[in-house]
Amino acid sequence: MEAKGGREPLRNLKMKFRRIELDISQTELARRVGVTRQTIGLIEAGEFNPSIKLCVSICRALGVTLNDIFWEEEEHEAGEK
Amino acid sequence: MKRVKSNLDERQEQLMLKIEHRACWLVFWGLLAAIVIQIVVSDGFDYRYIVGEWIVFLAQCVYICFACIKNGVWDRKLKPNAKTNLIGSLIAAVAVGAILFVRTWLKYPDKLRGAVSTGLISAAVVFVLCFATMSLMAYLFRRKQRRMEQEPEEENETE
Repeated sequence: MEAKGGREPLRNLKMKFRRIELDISQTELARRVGVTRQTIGLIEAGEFNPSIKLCVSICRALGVTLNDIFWEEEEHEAGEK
Repeated sequence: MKRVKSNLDERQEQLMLKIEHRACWLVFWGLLAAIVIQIVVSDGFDYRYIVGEWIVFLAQCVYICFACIKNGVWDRKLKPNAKTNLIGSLIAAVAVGAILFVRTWLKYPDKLRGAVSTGLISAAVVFVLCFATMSLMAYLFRRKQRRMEQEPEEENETE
């Protein structure tokens, strides 16, 4: 699902920082997960909501848990509503 | 049979489904427009001219209806009730009546009453057939939905 509407998409900065921390490019992460670089870019930009299956694959590739990069803080969730 | 691995990731798959969805409805309305235009404007029209388009159009309609009913889905906005069936049948009846009235009038400009009768009779027939078909589809959908609701929960779980 692509994020639509006038609302600013919520960027997944935690995922981006973790990728940079591991010194992995979007292309490399995409290769490890088995998706295209554009898909990784759109997830990081908050313009594509991945399935739970893809989230798990990304977490495995980045060596983190779902909570670490896909859990939104309370104030973040409130901002979305 | 071995399944061929998809070249698309899930985002591309969703995009592809959207593109195919638009293409499907483009073909649907395109075929309908082609059929209507040929009926109205063709000089010396013969129904054999549109047999191909008609078969493809009906196959698409039948597939969509039965695939939706089989999977227990109806419409995004409309509800399967008598009001929907009545409005849908009226729209179809008016459209077909108008098309056949125009076609008959263009063919026999001096016989306005005949053209009006043709339009009215065909509209009435289409209304009855359409209402009956839509009511049958709504009944089949509700029956399918009831069966799905009654299915034991265990059967829906996959391992």
